[in-house]
Amino acid sequence: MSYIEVNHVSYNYKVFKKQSGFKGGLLDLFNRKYVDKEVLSDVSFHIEKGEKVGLLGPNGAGKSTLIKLMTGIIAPQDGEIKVNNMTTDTDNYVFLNEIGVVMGQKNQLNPNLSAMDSFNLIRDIYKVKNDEYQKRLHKYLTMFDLNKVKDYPVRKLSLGEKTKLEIIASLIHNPQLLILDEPTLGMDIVSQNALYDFINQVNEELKVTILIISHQMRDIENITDRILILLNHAITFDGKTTDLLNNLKAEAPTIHLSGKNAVPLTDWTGANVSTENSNATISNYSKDSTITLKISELASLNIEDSSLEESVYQIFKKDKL
Amino acid sequence: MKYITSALNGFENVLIFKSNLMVQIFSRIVQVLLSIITWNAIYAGSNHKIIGGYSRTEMFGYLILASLLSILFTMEPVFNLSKQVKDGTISSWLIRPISINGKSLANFIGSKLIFILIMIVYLVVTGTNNLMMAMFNIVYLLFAIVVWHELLYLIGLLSFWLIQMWPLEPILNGFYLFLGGILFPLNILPQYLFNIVRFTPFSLVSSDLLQVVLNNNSGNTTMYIYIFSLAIWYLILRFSSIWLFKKGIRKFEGVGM
Amino acid sequence: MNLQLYLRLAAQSMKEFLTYRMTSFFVILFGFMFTAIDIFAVGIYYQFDNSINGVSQNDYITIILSLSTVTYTYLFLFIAAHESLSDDIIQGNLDYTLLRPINSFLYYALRQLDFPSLINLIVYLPATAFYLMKYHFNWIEWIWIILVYIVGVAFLFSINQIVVEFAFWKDNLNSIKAFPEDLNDTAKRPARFFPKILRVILTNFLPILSISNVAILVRKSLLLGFIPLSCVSLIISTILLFAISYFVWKKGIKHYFSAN
Repeated sequence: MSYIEVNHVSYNYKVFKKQSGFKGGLLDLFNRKYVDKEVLSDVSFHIEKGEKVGLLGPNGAGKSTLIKLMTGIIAPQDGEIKVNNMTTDTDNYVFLNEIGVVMGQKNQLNPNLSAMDSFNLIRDIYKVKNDEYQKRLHKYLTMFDLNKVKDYPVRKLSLGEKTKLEIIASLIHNPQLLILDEPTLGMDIVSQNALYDFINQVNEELKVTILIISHQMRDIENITDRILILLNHAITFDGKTTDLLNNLKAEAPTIHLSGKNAVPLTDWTGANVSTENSNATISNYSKDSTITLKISELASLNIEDSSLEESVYQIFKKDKL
Repeated sequence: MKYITSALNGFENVLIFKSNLMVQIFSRIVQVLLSIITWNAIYAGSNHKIIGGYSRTEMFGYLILASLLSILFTMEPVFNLSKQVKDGTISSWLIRPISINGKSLANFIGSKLIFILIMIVYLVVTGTNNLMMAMFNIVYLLFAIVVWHELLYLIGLLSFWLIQMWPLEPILNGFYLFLGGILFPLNILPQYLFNIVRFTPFSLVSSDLLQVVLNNNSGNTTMYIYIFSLAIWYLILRFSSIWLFKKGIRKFEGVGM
Repeated sequence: MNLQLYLRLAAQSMKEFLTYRMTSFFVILFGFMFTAIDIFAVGIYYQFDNSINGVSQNDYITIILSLSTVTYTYLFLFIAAHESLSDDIIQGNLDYTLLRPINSFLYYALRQLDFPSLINLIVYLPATAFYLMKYHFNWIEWIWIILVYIVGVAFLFSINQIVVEFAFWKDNLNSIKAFPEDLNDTAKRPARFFPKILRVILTNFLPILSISNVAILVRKSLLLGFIPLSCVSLIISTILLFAISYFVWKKGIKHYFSAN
């Protein structure tokens, strides 16, 4: 039995289909036509204890719905979901004690009070023993270097600080499953790196299972071992992170160079290079290609970046064709 | 043009959120019924047929008219403004070439358009024997609406400082019920008290307006005094809100952005 | 929800109250002004006669003060939650509440106290007691009065809770909050003023008058010689309304999360 079992889960929303025009609006008052909007169709996957899994998918793919199902907020119409052999249900307090959730756009900390006040409240809600609580909190605050700000009203803190405190808030009760929904939104790189170290440490030391939803390539690369891709109401990829990234890196982003007086390239192998005046464009390279730059001549270097979501979507769009 | 759009938005909003309108009207009906029930008991238990210069039917007539008028004088500008401050959207309006006060006024007038037109029709119909008076009453009415909005806008600016605005609602209601003459006509108060309260903005827009309309053919100086007082209040409120707005924006923490 | 958790919530509400002094000051001030206006109006009504329909000025003032005491107790305990629910629904701030291992209905309702209302209550409670003592109630009647006070708070909570729960389905229906306010205004009047049908409805089915007029009604329509009918109606309707509010909450939460 896996730690998390999602078996043949389907979910539809009932959407009210508006009839057009004034007459239609009038008819709608008496006889509403509901249409089933399919969001998830026969979704299955298993996650073992201690795994670090990323959930990807374009907007509208059903990620939020899947998370709601996994946290027990809604129940599937078909199939079942179990976490540590418990059906996901918000009426089951044992289950709720098992999970911790960080919702990137939502706040669980009272903005008018200090983070410590909110932490103390959470401790009381989950009935965490005081010495455990103190030890754990001290450790997390030190890891994130937040001891100086824990006593300030939360609304006066920066977004990065708030996010880190939100994550700590979700870990106070020592959950065995941590679900993170876009946790690094708005964070600077230094904070992101601290977050990655933190989450990986929590996973290593406490064997907490991690499920992260993110569009940021860095989040996926630095945390997850395994990726699930949700596309067209189903899981279309379930495999190692390294496999997916290798797949993506085959699609190398185009590099644009511009030189001060001349093209700043002196040599290259295994790549397509086109030049114009003192500019050069490099494409179709691989991990074995070499490119030699003349730094003194280099005015600027630009890498065309496509988001992970776009790249992933492109790949699987191609597969479908 | 942008203000006309704001007015139309206000008007459209009322049509869309008809349920809000229904509830507002129902609330007014409850208020007038309560006042009538109270006064009915007072007249029934009293030896006097005339109280404060009003017979029972005159009193009921006054209370009904006062309640109808009160549909115009509602509190939305306070809470619309405070909502914008609370969720930070006021910042996006600050950088646009539109006066927030002007937009609020246009929106308010738009939302009350139907009732304003009804009132104007009522004033014209009841003032057929004296068209000049009818015109004057209409001007008074429109000016009263502008001053009322200015008062509420000023109160709404308190949201830069007050964390919770909800306590304002019952107190504003209380002031309006009392000073606006909804609980009883103000001229039954002792004279010295009446002379003070009749010049508050609540009275000027409601109770005094009603007295002027009801005493249609008086054409006395009282009307001019009221309009002049309204003008003074408008200036006080306008300058206060300009000053308070500047202070508030400086204090504004951009909550919710 | 346990006592320790509740005390923690209370302590945090106190902190917020002490942080926002200006708001707190205005809330307290307005609380007094509002009742002052009501009592002043009573003075106006009674300037023509000593008794209106068998109701003395003292009776009327007792009615207003009784209602104020119950109202401010309700405000102290529950107004913060009721004011914030519709915003919390729109902004999606209920998510965390539901994921906590506690009853979401109780937690949400009890999570914040309004201390300024407590200050008002500290004045109204003894003032009400003072006026009630003029009636020379026996100890059974006093028990009923205290019971009506407690159940009255629960009644106000339930009505307001049901009204704010509409926000789960319809947003921007702000003016519906006028309904409990209108009910409150209605309760400020002596029951005797109302036509018989309204009086029956407002003392037995939506028994708001049973709360404010307790001083008078506690001696009327006694079942078995000592149980005031108005109190029984109040208790039954409060239990019903409370149950409805809980049921609607459950449905509302489901709707909140299943909305796309």
